[in-house]
This record gives sequence, structure tokens and C-alpha cells, in this order.
Amino acid sequence: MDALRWKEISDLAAIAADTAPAEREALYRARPDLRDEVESLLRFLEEGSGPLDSLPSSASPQSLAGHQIGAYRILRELGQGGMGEVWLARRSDPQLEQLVALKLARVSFQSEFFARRFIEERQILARLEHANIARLLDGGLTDGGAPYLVMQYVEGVPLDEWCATNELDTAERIRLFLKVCAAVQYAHEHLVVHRDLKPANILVTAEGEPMLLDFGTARLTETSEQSGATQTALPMMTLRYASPEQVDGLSGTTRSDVYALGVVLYELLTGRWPYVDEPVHLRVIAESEPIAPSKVNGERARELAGDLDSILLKALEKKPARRYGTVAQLADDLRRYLAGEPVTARNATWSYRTGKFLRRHRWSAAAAAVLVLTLGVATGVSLRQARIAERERAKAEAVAGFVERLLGASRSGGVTPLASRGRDLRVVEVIDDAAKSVGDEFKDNPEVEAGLRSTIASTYMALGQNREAVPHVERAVALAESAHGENDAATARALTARGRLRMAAGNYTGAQEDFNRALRTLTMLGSPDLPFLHSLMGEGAYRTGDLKTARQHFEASLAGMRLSFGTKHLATATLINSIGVIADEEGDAPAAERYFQEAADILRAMPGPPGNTVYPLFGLQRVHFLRGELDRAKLIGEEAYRIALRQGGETHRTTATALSVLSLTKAHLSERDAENGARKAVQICQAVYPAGHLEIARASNFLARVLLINGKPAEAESLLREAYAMARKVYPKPNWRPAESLLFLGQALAAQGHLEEGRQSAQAGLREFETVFPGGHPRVDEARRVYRSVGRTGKD
Amino acid sequence: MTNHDVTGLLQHWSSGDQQAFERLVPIVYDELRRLADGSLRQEPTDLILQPTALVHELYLKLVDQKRAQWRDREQFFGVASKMMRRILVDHARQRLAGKRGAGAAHVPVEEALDQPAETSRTVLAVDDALKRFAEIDPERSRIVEMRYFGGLDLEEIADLMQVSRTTVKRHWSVARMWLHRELEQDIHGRASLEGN
Repeated sequence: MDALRWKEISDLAAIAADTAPAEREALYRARPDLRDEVESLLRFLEEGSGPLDSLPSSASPQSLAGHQIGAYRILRELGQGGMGEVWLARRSDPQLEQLVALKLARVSFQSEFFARRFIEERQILARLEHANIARLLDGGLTDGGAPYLVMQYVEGVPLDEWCATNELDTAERIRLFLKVCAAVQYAHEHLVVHRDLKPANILVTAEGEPMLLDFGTARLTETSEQSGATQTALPMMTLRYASPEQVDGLSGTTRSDVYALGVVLYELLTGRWPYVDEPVHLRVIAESEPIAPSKVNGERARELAGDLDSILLKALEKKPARRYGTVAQLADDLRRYLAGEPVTARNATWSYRTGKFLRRHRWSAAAAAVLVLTLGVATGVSLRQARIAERERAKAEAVAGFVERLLGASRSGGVTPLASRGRDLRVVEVIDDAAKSVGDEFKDNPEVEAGLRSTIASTYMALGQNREAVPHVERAVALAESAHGENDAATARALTARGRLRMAAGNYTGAQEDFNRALRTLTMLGSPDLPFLHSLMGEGAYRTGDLKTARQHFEASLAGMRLSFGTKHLATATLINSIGVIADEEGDAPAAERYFQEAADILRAMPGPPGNTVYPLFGLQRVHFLRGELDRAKLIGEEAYRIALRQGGETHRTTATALSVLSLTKAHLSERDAENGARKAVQICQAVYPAGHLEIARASNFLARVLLINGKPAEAESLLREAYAMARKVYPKPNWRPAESLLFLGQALAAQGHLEEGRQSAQAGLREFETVFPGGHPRVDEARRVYRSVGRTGKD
Repeated sequence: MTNHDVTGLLQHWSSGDQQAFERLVPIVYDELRRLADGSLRQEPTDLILQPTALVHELYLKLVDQKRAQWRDREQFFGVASKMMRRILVDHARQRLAGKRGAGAAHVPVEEALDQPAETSRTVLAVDDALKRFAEIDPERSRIVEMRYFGGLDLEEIADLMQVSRTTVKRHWSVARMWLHRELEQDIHGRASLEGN
């Protein structure tokens, strides 16, 4: 058969396959010569049992059915994803007849990338508890070491299918969609971006409740390392709902979720993809303008024209800064539409900058969006969601404006337009380019240059390139001083940035100078940024060992945070904990206990509870442990371990810390699983930290202490020697960490009969403790006890 | 061989350099085997070779992601599917020739791919039929390769080929019918049919 004839046959066969058998004869009338050939193909139309209907390379899916994983018995396969398979399973416990969805990582756990993704998904899910988000119930490792997650099993149909089968009208579709928005908004408020929203990930239950699934590609927006621009999760995303910036290889933001929701709603209301024509192509997403919904759906054209057109087109803007700032704003506009009130999308002045400009600068525009995001994250160490929500919009606008002006100026100034250099342009390059040209382009506009320089510096810092930030921050300070004078918010902002940079470089004196100047200005202006500056100053003082000043700043910051966020906020609790740490180091155990208790109570009352809860719990645990109240210490230790496990999973560094601390307490209580726990903690640390890291030393110290209690001094000795070497390298000056290793090394040596050597080591440890805590401290008391016990052994 | 080079080879190949493909084959083949071996040192219930997952992992491992963008994905998954095809066909051939266990090193990947002889025969028959199909319909045969040998689902293929889901479904359906008809004829004896 030749290719030409086959083309005719196959085209007709494709049509015939979609046609009811009774009506096929009508099709053949035009080409009776093809009839037999097509009919002979159609004998094989029915799918199911042919050789091609099962894949040769995967064992049959039933092979896991009936197996036991953890407490779950596998029933059948539910689906497959890029990272693993999802199985329907039942808890073996007959009292808890519960069906669950068990997601098993398919690829070996030794693949670091997948392991990390899996653990991340678990952390992400653990912080989300919402009626419209499938809940995480459990998780762990199979006997073979493959990680699995156990999730609420949702029985439902994809959102688009539900709307079609139930023939929902426009208003009903929007109302259902609003529930989805609420769930996504909830996730955003918990600093989680979904990044792969699509109808297949939104199931509607029989009761008509939409449920959000699959946070497999989600990301936390919380820490700067995770907001980097170059994370590539692309191979696992669905192109159809990917935003222009994601197509561009940039990490998804909350506004990418706004875009994806826009596509979902567009499809729900019009029945088709927003762009000129399928094929779904990355170039189309990056460059084509979406068609107004009212132009594509004849049936609903009248309903869609006007408000819904504006709302959808705003959600689908190419440039993130042009879209709705939050999902809540999108939802609000939809509610206004349903209520017949005017929507904001129509009053907006988005069009004052031309779309053509954006097309020309599409790569740079996406990079600018990332700038906005990194800036949002970079601005404060205690930056929290409330602050992001309040200021993101204004900041986004301001920064996008700066960058756009810069790019525009580059063009008119005869510099090669960034956009013409091809698609590989990344944030760093945009920043590098901005860095190079900003001086020339804004010669006559020092205010803009100062603002831009601060922006550039903060972005470098967010990208971890502190050295590149230095000249810009210096220039920003100089420009702001000359353009605005000392007492201006812009000058204070530049100074704060320089102070952070100096602090990161260990120049605490310089940092203090900058912070103090910024402090004067901000105090005078009554700036809402004050509490954040105070917390930075507290951190700086703490790092230089000036506990008194640190405490004053933390307390000032706390007062401000309480005013801005209330007494029960994460930021408030974080500061209370910081003050507790200071009190603890000052040797004021009762005060430390009060602070830790208060912080822990605030955090415990929050949904989750959040992972930060473990820090005050660690503090409390230590207070009780040093006081000899081992049973209480154990209870708190167990609580911290549970939270760490839930938030971070079995192999998270915080879980390791919790396990170390708990195991030592258990060893003192002669509990048998103490040693195993302490060993596991060391293993986790060795897996997650680079060799020689202080946390490995810390976990080794804990294990050694457990071993000493269990009568294994030889192994303890070698662990302590290594731990000491690691800690001393990091802390050449007196510090309690190396001191602790020396102290217990003494005990290990004495226990093996090396009495004099042991005594010397313990004595050196004790002296170092006394130097670090000259005012006395429960740790010093403990060190004295240990030293005395070594000395006693020596006399025996 | 660095990631960098693989990405470069992919790019050369995509701009028509057939030699680049020939150089790519052994790299990708070796890596895929290593990955498969690694992922198989697990408990028995984990001994399931998932081509999609392997292919994803291979992509992440081999390709310099800073340079590789969406557009490279189709080529990549195309290559990976061809590799899976080679591995499966080689294995099926060995299996039927009874080579396994005859002094050959015991490789875990072989174990996972261990199929009943019937499956081995099917793999060879599909491979053979697909070669014939590619002569009259290269586009649809690529879809079959990615689906059957590469283990990608139709939605993923639609995404990669940048055509609509409906289009891929139709293509697959037609290709499937043709191949099944062909395979049935194989069973009844190809020679007699050609005599018709």
C-alpha cells in the first residue's frame, strides 16, 4: 500500500470511527472504493485486549494489588503521574475502614531529585487543611526505601466533565469555580503555589464539592532559595494551562496560578482554549493574544460580552503584573459580576501601556515578574504573608515600572534591546544588563537610579550573589543620600539593604551603623517597616553576642508586630521565641520557659500547627531536661517530633534535630529505642547536610551522649572527636558547641580508663562553657556535674 | 559526557545533523540502563519498570535544563522512546534465543523486563509491523512508538507534539487499528496473505 492511498483510507477511517455504524454507509457513498479497506480496519476499533493495549515495558498494574504498604492494603490503580502512581488502598485496621489514595514514588529513592520532590510535596500538603483540598493523611517509606504519601481519596469527576454532564449554566459554573478559587487562595495564603492547575486536578464529588488534588509540582513561596528563577519543573507540567512565564522556564508564582485558573474558567465558559487555534504551542502561549470569550461561543456570546470578557482577559494577561494580583481579587470580580455590580477589570487602566511593547519584551517582561517576586521575598527576614499581601501589589507595580522604563530607555538609547537576544535570557542576565546600563541611562534621574540600584542589589541578594550586590547597594545609598537627603524612606531602604548585606558578610559594626541611620529615619516617619528593621537589628546584635541590645530590639519589634498583626500571629510568635532564646542564653531559665511557652501556645493554636512550632518546643524541652524533669521533657520532645514528622517527613533536618533531642531524654529514662533514634538522626543529617556540617556534629554529640549512657564509650569517643573537629573549625573562638564535645569526650575517655586525659578534656570543656556563659547558666551547671563525675572516676 | 554535550547533541540533531543522533544513542542507552538498574534494586513490589518515570528521570539527568526548554522535550522523549524500543526489542530477541542465563552477566534490568515468551514475541511482532507502518505513515508511527514503547500517555504525547488531544487520540486509534489488523495477519501467516 502506498502512503497516498493510506492517507485517504486513514482519514476516512478516523471519521468513520467517530460515526455510528448505522450511519457509516452514508460516508462510503462518496468513496465506495475505500469501503472494504476502512471496514476491515474498523473491526479492530474496540479497545481492550489487543497486543497494543498493554504496554510491554511495565509489569501489569495488578502486580501491586493485594500488597501491604505500611498500614495499607493496595486495592487497585487509580492513575499515573510523572512522579509515581496513585493506588486505591484501604487501611488494614478494621476499626478504621477507610479508603485512601496512596501515591508511591516509582523511581528509585536514590534519585535525589525525585526524593526531594516527594518530600517537598509532603511538606507542602501537610500545611494545607481545607475542605476543598485533598488532605494528606500519612506518609512514609516502603521496606525497600521508596517514599509514599497517603491522601484523602476523592471520588469524583474532572471539573469540566462535571459541568458538561450536569449541563450547568454560566452562573452555576462560576459559582462552582469560586469554590476552586477559595481553595487556591487558601493555599496561597499558606505560601503554597500549585503551579499545575487544570480540570484533571480538580475533581467534583457527587455532592458537587470541587476538590483540589496533586500538589506534585507545587512550591512554597516562603524562602528565598525556593523562589529562585531557574527551577525547572517543566517536564511535568501541562502546557495547556501553563502561563507565559512558566513556558519561559521561570518558576510559577501565585499569578501563574491566576493565569491557569483563567484558562480553566475560559474553557468552562466557552468550551475551548483561549488562543487562535490549537495546537497548544509554547509560542502561542508566549505571543498570541487570547480571543475575547464572547467572540468564540455563539450560545453564550451575550452573557460573556463585557464583564466576563474583561475578567478573563485580565486573568490571562501575558505579563503577571497585569493580572489580578491575587486569586481573591479574581474571585471578587466574579462575585461582583454575579451580583450585577461593576467589576474592577473594566475600570482598570491596564491598556495604557501597549501590548506591543510587552510582545517585544516578552522574555524580559517575564524576568521582571520574577524580580518582583524575589523582591517580595528578599525584603525582610521575618517577612510573612500578611506583609506580602499588603504590599505586593504596590511593589509589583513600582518595580515593574522601573524595569520597563529601564528596558524602554535601553532601546531608545541605542543599546541592543534585551528581547532581541533570544529566549535564553534569564533573570540574572536582565539584572546584569540593568546593572551595566542603569548608570548611563538614568544620569539625570538619580531618584529612579537609586530605586533601581536598591532593586538590583536586593535581587542579587535573593539570588545569593551578595558580592555582585555590593557596588549597587553602595551606589544606591550614595544616590539616595544626595537625591533625597538623610531623612527619606528611600534612603532608609537603601541603608537597610546595605546593612543586611554587611551583616551577611560578617561586618556587624558596619551593619549596625546603617541600621541605626535607617532606624532614625523610619522612627521619625513612623514607618510600618520599623518592626522588620528592629528584628534585623536584633539578629545582628545577637550574632555579635550583645544579648542585651538584641533583646531590646526584639522587644521593640515584637511590640510593632503585635500592633500590625495582632498577638496571635506567626511573626509575633517568632519574635517571642527569639526573646526566649536570649533569655535562655542569659541564664534566666524561668523567663525563657515563659517565652517558649507563650510562643508554643500561639503556634499550637494555629491550624497545622506550623513547622516553626518546634523551635519553642525545643527550648521548653531543654529547660525541663536541664532541670531534670525528664518525663515532661519527653512529652514535649515527642510533640516536637510529631510536628516535625508531619511537616517535614521522616528525612527532614528538623525531624533529625527533634529525634536527637528526644533520644537523649529517652536514654536518660533508660528507654530501649533511644540509641536507634539517635543513630537515625545522625544518618539523616549525613544525608541532608554536606560533609563537615555543624548539624552533623551536633547529631553526633547527641548520639555519643546516648552511647555513654548505654555503656559504649569507645564508639562515643570517636564520634566526639569528629564532632569536636567539625565544631572547632566553625567556632575557633569559645563557643558552647565545641565545648560540649570536649566535655563529653572527657567522659568517654575516663570511662575507658584514660583517666587523666579524660579529666583534662572535660576541664577544657568546662572552662570554655564558663567563658561563654560568664553569668552562669544551666548548661554550665550541667558541665560542672559532668566534670565532677569524670573527676570522681579519676579518683576511684 | 556532560549534560551540556547531550543538550548540544539534541540541538544539533534537531537541526538535521543525523550524526549527532548516532552519537546520542549510546549515551542515552547506557544511561537508561543504569537508571533502570538503579531503580530496580528495590523490594520485589517495587520492581516495576516505569518507562515514563525513567524517561522523566533521564531527561532531568542528561539535559542541561538551563539551556533546554520546552521545545527540546519532544525530541528528547522521541529519542528516549526509541531507546526503550531498542532495549525491549533486544531483550525480547535474547529471551527467545534462550541466551539469558547462558553465562551472560545477570543484570537487574533484564529481570524487570523479563516477560513471558508470548510477550517477547508480541514485542518483536509490533516492532516489525511498526517498521512497515512507518513507511506509509511516519507521523502516526511516532505516536505509537512514544505510546507503546515509551510508555507516554496520549495527553503527554499531545503536549509534546503540540497538537490537540483529540488529534492524537484519532491518530492513535487509526494506527492501532492498522497495526492490530497487521498483527492478526501475521498470526494467520503473512506469506499466504501476500499471495492474494
